[in-house]
Amino acid sequence: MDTKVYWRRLFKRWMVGVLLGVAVAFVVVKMWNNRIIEPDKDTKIVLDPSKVQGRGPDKAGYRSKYERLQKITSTTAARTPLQDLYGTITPSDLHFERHHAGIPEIDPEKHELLIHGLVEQPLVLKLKDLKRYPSVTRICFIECSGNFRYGKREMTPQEVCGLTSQSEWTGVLLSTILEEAGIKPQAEWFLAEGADGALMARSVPLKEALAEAMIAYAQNGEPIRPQQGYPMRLVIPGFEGNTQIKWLRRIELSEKPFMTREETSKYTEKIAKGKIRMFSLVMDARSIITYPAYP
Amino acid sequence: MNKISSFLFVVGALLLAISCSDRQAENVSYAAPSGEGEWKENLDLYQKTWPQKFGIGRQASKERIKKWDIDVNPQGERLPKGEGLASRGKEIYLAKCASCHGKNGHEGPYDQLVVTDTSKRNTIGNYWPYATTIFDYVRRAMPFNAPGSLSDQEVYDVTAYLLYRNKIIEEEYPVNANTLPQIEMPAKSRFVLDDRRGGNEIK
Repeated sequence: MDTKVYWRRLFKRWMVGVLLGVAVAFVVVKMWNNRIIEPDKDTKIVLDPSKVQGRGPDKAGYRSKYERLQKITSTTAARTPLQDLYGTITPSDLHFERHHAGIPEIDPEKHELLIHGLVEQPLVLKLKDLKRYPSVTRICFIECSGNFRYGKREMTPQEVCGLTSQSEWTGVLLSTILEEAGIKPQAEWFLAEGADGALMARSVPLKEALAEAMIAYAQNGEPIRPQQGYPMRLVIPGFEGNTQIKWLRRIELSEKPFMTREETSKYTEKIAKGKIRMFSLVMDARSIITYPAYP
Repeated sequence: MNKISSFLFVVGALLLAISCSDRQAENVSYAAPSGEGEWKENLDLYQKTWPQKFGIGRQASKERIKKWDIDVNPQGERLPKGEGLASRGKEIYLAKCASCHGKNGHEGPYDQLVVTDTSKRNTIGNYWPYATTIFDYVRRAMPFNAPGSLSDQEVYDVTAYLLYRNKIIEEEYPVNANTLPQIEMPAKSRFVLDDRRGGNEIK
């Protein structure tokens, strides 16, 4: 035999051995890492979390991967998973959504709130101005007045009335801001307008709103999320959600309502004798069993 | 001995009763967060410490207000100059509105605008109480993919066209700041204010 060929064959065999060895070692290490640790033969735990190094802290928290909390979305709304929640507060990322021209992206440095109409001194406020006024914090529900679906036997609470959520809101009372501007005695209503593509606008009776309404800039301890009206929104406890204008940019005091599209052709109800009811602003009571419930 | 033990028993029972009542009081205040009265009382106390004016924010100039003060009410206040014609409005409608509302205003896929004999859907012709609202809304929010892109003139023309298609005005009727608030809408008389008075009644 040629010595050259002999050495080549020997080298090939040696290489095969090394490769096989590496492969076997790899598989063994893999299996060892994935081995089932059974601390107690009576439990079905396959991996004991107390026997492995845990994950370090994060800059923002996250939900357990075993929990699937999700809103049901359509093109203009998202419904809160009522059946998956506990207690009374809706997590901010699961708060229902309803918007008329999508969610605007607003730079708070450029955003301004204009107060005018029947006031002594028209005002322009920025977010940082608003935060300098005395704040109030209050837990309130917000419900879309279109919040009830039926017609199928099998519906989750989320599908039936997921357009309701509850948060702790922080902001400035509307009365604080309007008294700063000075309310003229003939003012009976005000227009609230958002900075979204729809320039969402609703007329609100002044007396009712002055009692409790606030211009909120925080929700559940953090700045209001874009879906909920960042950087500021109107919160009117007990009123239909549509009047609680998000992305609030303008308040105009007036003698009479403005009759915007949202308070005439929408958010009105057909009642008896061919009549149509408008400005039905206070939400009636509604209840639903969230657990046990379908499915 | 018997006296002492019964004395201790009584003392023990009293202590237990006191601790229980304490716990109960805590539970009550915890389970019932601030009611309406408490909120108002606390707020009144808070407000007593406030000055007459805070002086925070800046004064809004007339020009600043004019820039944003776009609402048009049923009295037609703040309607801009210009005059709309249905014939001109048709061109704009077909170019910018028909893809969502249908070539004739009632085929969809989105909101039906023009009243028809066969459909009971809410439209401008059978459900809108004020003609001024058409101008206000179109200028505010339409077209959906380019809100606020129409000129006042175009808004007037589209308003005229929608009123004409709903058989509320004649094709040649000029729509302007003067005429628009005077147009009587068919649905106007159907609208009533909220008449719910609470209680057990369900409507």
